[in-house]
Amino acid sequence: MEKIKKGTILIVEDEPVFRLIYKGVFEHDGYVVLEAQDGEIGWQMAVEKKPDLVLLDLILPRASGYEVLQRIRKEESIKTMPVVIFSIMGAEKDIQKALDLGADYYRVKGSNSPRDILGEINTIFDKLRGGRKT
Amino acid sequence: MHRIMVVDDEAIITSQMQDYLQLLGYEVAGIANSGEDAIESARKLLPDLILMDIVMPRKKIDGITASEIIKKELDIPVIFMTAYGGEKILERAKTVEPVGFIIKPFQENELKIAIEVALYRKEMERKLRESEKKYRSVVDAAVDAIFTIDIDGNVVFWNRASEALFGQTSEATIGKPFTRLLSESISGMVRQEMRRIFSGGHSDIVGKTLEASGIRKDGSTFPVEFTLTAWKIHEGVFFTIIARDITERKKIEQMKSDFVSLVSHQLKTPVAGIMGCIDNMLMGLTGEITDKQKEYLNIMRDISSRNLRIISNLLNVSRIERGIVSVNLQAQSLDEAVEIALKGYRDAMGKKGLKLVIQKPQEDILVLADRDKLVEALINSVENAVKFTDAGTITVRMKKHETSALVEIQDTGPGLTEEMKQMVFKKDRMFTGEPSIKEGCGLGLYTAMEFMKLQQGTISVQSDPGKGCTFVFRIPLANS
Repeated sequence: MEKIKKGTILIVEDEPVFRLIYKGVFEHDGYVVLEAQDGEIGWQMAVEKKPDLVLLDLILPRASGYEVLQRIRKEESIKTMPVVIFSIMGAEKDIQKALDLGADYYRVKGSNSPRDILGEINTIFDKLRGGRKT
Repeated sequence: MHRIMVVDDEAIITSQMQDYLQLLGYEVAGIANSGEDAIESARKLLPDLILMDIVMPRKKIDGITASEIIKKELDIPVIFMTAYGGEKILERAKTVEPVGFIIKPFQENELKIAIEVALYRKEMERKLRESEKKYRSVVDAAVDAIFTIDIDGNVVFWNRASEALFGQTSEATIGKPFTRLLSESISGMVRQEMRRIFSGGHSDIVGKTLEASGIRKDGSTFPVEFTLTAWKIHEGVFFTIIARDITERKKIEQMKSDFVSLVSHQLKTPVAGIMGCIDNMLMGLTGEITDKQKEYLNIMRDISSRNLRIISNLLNVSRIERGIVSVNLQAQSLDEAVEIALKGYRDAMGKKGLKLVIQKPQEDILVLADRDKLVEALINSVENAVKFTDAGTITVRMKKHETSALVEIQDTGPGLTEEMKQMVFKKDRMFTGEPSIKEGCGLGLYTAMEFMKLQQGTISVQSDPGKGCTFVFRIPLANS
């Protein structure tokens, strides 16, 4: 039986183990997962594949997470795409900068288990389906 | 012996004065009969004091004019002698600032008093000028900018280093408002504190070292550190500010901070990766796992988790030692902070069969704290309690006490000896036996203490051997 697809998530993350973990947990729960290992590929995939949500790391080769975020928000076809920053950096100023640039959510890597993150992603998708973004 | 010159156009007077003076024990330096003479003789003889007749008819220059010239050129004190007390003359005489007046005819003792007062005042002025020169040289040689502002916020003194620091001369700065020199928020606050002191109140910022942005003449800004002192004199209230450029220091602090952050990420990332993989395996993502596998995986997860804690502690201590811990104090819900701290340990408590009891007042307590630091401090204490208590209860009590909030974390563990109590918050200490995985590196409570200090709070311990431990946190209430 084909699983009902819950949506498409693009993971932009340079560290292979984190791509493995999050692809694993999201696919297990029914999402389609796309991966990008650097900022440039992340940006290209966002524009071409138009995922429902982007899980975006900040420290990336070729183009930083901030850079990718800015481009997404400027690009007409995808400027309202939900972006969740998922970074090991957790300082107040990093969070504020990301939110100022248009990130919808910010989660710090390492404080939460993959299951917690899955839960949050599910909540975000519920909100999106409800037609309103917080 | 003091040397006095007498100037009067009448020979009788000068001769009489000469006798008087000698009687009183002064040396007569010389005599003059006119303004011009007085000037010339003064230049030659350089007396300590001149007794000058104001009105000298039939002579070109009168006493007042002569005094003006002598004062400007030679700075010799002059006492005016005059028979007339007319207003106009008096007014004009005052403009040359004589050290005294005596009205003819006068007694010997009047003369003596006038002379002594004049000489004394001259001496005091000299000492004051020297003292001023001495302090001035200190202030001028100072590397730090030193400037003074009055109650209206205008600069009244501006030393050499201030000129260099802010890029503007004292001519350009004196009399102008100081608000152009510091960022708005700070200058606003300084003005408020000045008014507070002016109305007899007490100010918290006096004597403290504060940071702000300095603004140069060309508009560029730079980080500046300054200390303020307030002083009241008859003329009013003044603030003296000593300031220095801390651009270099800020750069170094940023480098240190970046370094610690980098090390932090490098150390934490692999551990987070391992924990994520284990979590997924436990969730069944890699297929069904046997009980034995589950047991191993749980142990691996536990160890990784503790590893992460140790790394966190090391990084905290590293920041503390480098003096680069930032603190952001805001009103916080104490209940929320405690809940976050307990969240990660409820499972562990359950597994060990420990009971958790929380006692708190009906109304949530608001404290003034840095949320992350408060939570970290509490976590370190909770961690300690869970680690060392094998059976019984962990009790968390929250309450208000005067201007502070108290959090007590009590366990039913083995408790501490007097000796251990002395060492428990210290960083460098001897370990008894070999450090086990269970004990970690003992930095948690040191960190907790330092973090509490940074928030103007405290942590202490009460314990008796065999009777468990109670750690007591004291945190200032918000708006106390």
